[in-house]
Amino acid sequence: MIKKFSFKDLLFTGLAIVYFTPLVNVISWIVYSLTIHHNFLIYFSSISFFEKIRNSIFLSTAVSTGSVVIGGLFTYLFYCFRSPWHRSGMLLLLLSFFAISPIIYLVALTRLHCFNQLPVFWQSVQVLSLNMSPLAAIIFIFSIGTLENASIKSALMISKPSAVVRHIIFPQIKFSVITAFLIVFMLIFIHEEVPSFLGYRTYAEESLARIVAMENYKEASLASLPFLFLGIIALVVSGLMLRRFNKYHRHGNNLSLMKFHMNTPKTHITAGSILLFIAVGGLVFLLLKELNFYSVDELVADNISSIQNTFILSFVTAIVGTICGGFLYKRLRTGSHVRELVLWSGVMMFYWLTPSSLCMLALVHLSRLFHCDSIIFDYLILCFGYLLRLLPISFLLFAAMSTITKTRQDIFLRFIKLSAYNQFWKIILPLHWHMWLIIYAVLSVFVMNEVSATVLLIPPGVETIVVRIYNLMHYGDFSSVAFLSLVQVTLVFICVAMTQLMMKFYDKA
Amino acid sequence: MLTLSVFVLAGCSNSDVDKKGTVIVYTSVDQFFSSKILKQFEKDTGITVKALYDTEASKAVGLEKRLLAEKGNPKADVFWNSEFMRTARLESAGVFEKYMRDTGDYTSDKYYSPEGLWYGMGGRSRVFIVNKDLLKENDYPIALTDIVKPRFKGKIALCTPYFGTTSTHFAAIYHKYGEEKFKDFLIGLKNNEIIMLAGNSVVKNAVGNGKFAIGLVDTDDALVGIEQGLPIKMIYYDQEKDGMFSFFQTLSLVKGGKNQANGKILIDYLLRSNIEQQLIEMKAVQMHILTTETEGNTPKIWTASPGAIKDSLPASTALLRHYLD
Repeated sequence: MIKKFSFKDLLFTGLAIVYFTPLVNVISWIVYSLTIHHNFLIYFSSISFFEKIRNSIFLSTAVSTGSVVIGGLFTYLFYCFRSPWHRSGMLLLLLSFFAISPIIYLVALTRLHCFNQLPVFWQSVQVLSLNMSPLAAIIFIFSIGTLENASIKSALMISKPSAVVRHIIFPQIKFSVITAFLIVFMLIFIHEEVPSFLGYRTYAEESLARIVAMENYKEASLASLPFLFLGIIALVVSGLMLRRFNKYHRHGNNLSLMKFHMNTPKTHITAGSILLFIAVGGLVFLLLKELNFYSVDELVADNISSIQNTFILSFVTAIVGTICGGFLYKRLRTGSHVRELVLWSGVMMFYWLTPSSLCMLALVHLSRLFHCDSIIFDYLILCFGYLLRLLPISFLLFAAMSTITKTRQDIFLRFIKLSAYNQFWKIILPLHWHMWLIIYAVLSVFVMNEVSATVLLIPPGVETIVVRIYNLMHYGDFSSVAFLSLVQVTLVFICVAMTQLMMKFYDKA
Repeated sequence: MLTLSVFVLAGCSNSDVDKKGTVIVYTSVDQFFSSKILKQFEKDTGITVKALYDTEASKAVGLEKRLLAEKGNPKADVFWNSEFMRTARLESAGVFEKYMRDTGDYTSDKYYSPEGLWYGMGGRSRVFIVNKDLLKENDYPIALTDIVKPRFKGKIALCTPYFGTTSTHFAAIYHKYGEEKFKDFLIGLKNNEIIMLAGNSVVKNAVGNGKFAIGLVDTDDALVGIEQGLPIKMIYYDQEKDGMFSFFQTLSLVKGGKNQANGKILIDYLLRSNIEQQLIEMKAVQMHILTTETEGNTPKIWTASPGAIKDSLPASTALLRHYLD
């Protein structure tokens, strides 16, 4: 029987074609280059290549493990707090610190003598784990928030909290742990800056070196072949894991985030809070120490346009990314088999596994075919460039947080006679907007920290904070770097704080 | 709709209201320096400059590849490059437009393209920096080949030679001294367990912080380090032989740029010797190439034509991979 195509199907297919065109372009370059550059195949079987791949795998595994462990500790601490204010504050801290570019962590930590004594591998692990652990924590916190309260409460009455975590909570959030691990693994595998700053040789640096060295960027795309290969492996592994995970059924979706808590000794909470304060507060201290308070007026005047641009770009693109990710997840979840879901998410993740500069070059190449010189067109292309990388993250966050999972709410919605529009505004939005705002905040952090897309797609005369930070760091203007880093953190902090306040008023209403 | 409306507003705020128009410049010269010169140009001429700066993070891959990707329908009018090899590559890719102008100011014909495809300005050199706390003055290296001596084993850092000016330097060594000497040099570096870091500024910091005793960097990095108070000293090597390798910034008019008239005005403005002098005072560059007047004793230097170095790059990179990877 032939399935009838609706208008929505056509629209979805059209958007998918537009979305994947740059990726297809890069893959076509790779296939073409493979046929003419046989020496690459020799390189791919060399010891040097395997050494760098090994280094990348070691680093990614260590950082993913570190981030999941530290993120897990943050999550435990979060659920130890009873007061919603403490919890909101902790979420604010986590998101704000996730906003800091890893290069700023690196510069701040190199001010510490003990850090400089570590081997470069462990220096890289420390910097990147600190940077990535808030992401893991955010995924865990919201995954636990979607669990059914009643079963956990009853289990807590008869068992120790550790047993509840092991037997009730962990099996249900296993997919989130795997998601967090995989996201961090892939982000680190393609991360080039911190290890190469420290002198630890990874394949990400190698691929960039090849892109730089080769005159023809199309031929240089071959360097990204190992990333695509890794993507296929990650896709198969996540598919197999998801198939196993799919045997579990998650029933609750009543956002028990602010109600569920662990009964933990006060000493644990105090120790955890002190550790958290040292981890994140120490960084602020190092940044503040470098800030020249007498020249703040000058710093504001010099950097105001990049601050405005960053705010507008991250604000708009993260909203579009959240909406697109939500709709995509909803559409795929309702109309597709779990295998299709994994396949879609996996294929989208190739945008994270192909060097960002190559995808953006493909986009520049395609956009110039339109011969459009409008600044609005330039901004739209930039926004689209950010979206290429945001959509997989948005989609995975929706999946991990299960905000639109098959729940009793879905079943309930089928029985009430409300239009889709009214269902959205009167039921879905009031129940889920908190999580969407958190996804929005995470996406805005990604936009703020994106360098390659910004350098390759931004209209001339426009600058963002992260690009300025990189440029100023070169000349040791650490006062400006510290100022811009603190501004970036504050932007996220204000954004999430406003969300929390709005939630409070909304709940009262 | 939201995206479009916000960007319409952004577009309106960026619209050109100036009668004298705009010029779009892509520059890999550090923003810290170039932005000051470009602001001054705006003030002096009334032409609005829209600049796009490269970052050290993208290892100058951004602008070169963006210019290539935009070829045929470019956005830029002028490319102001901090070194010359990538200019030579873009020249051979047909990215630049001919612009013939007076070249009487130049100290040598090596510093401009006879076809008018690029013009050089402000030179820099490759120098050693040494950590004064870790090395005694008698032990300072005085020749480039000193860094392959066993006494410096494990004490040397340099920027990954596949990027930036270090890649240009190695290609130039290959071009000047030939394959055999280049191979011997690389074997010596390998045996001496040199460490390759992400950028010249990283090397400068690592030597300044005492992680390494010797670093090979550009003159501007060394001077910035000294100004920051790092315990480093800049060493001019090979002063009794050929001198240090030096390179220079370039200016080119982009083929098909929409504001070529203003692009030419910008090129002429930047190629004034007083601008070169300003760049020297800011420590962005260290040598005049636009005037024959010299002050005091200038160090001995050598350079080669950008085209020749560009042609040597594939062979030097292949050998670097073979011996240092």
